[in-house]
Amino acid sequence: METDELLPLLSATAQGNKQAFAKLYNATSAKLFAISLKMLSNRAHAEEALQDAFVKIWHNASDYQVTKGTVISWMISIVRYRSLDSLRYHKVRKEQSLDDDSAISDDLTDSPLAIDYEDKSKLVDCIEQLDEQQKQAIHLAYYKGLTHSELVDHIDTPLGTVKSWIRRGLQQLQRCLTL
Amino acid sequence: MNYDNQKLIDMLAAEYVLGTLKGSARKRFQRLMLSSNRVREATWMWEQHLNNLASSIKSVPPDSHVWEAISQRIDPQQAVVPNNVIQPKTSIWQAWSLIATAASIVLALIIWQPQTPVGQNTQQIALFKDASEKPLWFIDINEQGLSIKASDKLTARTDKDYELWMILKGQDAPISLGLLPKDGVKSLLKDSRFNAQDIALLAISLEPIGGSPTGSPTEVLYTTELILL
Repeated sequence: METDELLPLLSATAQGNKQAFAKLYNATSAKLFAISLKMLSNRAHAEEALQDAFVKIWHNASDYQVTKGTVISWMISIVRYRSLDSLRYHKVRKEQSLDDDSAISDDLTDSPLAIDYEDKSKLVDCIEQLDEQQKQAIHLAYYKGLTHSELVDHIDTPLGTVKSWIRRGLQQLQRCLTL
Repeated sequence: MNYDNQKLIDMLAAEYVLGTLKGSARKRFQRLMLSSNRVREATWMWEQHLNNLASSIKSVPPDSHVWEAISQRIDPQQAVVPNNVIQPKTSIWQAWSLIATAASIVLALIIWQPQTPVGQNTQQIALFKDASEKPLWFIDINEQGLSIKASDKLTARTDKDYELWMILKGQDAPISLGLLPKDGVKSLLKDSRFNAQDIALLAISLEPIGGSPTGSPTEVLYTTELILL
């Protein structure tokens, strides 16, 4: 998925072009739905989040600027924030939902740590340099939307330690990314 | 907290994007984004970095009814069908939705024994009940506004008022729709943000006479969902 394919579609969407919006949906919805589904582990909630996100994208397309990052990153953020809201609203962040793969297609049942990265971006290289615990905590927060206290339950580690893993992991990531 | 500290801004932005910044801290950060370029730029930078993690997630195409719903919401008059969205022969979701809606309405009408005030132009209805399933208020929503009927089973406090709120999907702050009648029928104007598809919940709060002094519900008593007709 190339940014230069999406930018004209988003620009036309900002002008109210519904065909362009439909093409933008076709180009991105499977990726965005997978992100929401992985986070929510509930198909109906993920569909609702995707719906809300695309309605927001339609209404806010003209707010996009290149300085906000790539079009796909901007769209991923909208879906993730909506999915985070949904997670907290539905209070589905239970231990069993992490292991409940009934709502998730087979290709999503791998744990975040077992993901085979296709994109060898700088971030992936920098993530690889983190301690295993830092990496695990950041992955669980990003992919599953876990809060600090949920991470405490999930990886059975004191709150202060979890917060420290995340904070130090992010600081180390930032240093690595800006090198 | 010293928001001039760039390191602090970077860490808050990172945790905001990651999702570990939550509750009031998350809201404070969102307010800060509105007023500070540095905060916005730090957030966009982290979004761009961390969203690379999503590239490893394998795509899962959503069902076609998701696009249908989006299309309906952005333009109820004319839905656009993207070429490669597979149209199922029958939409089980739509069928379920219709059955569920019909069942909800029948249930609401059965529960509401007195003459129901459902008008011809009604678009949505809502019914508030107490813990013992006793009906308290019935709300009929049409293009013009909200018509609210207090049940004769309602025992309203004379030293308090009851205020109606809507909670929009993805937003924490309830929006006041006005004070409810303690008996009889009352009409309320529709708030400009009132869009049935965007409403997650309706709520009723107990307030001092005259309504909420803070702009937020004082004590939420009941919640219910809108029933779309």
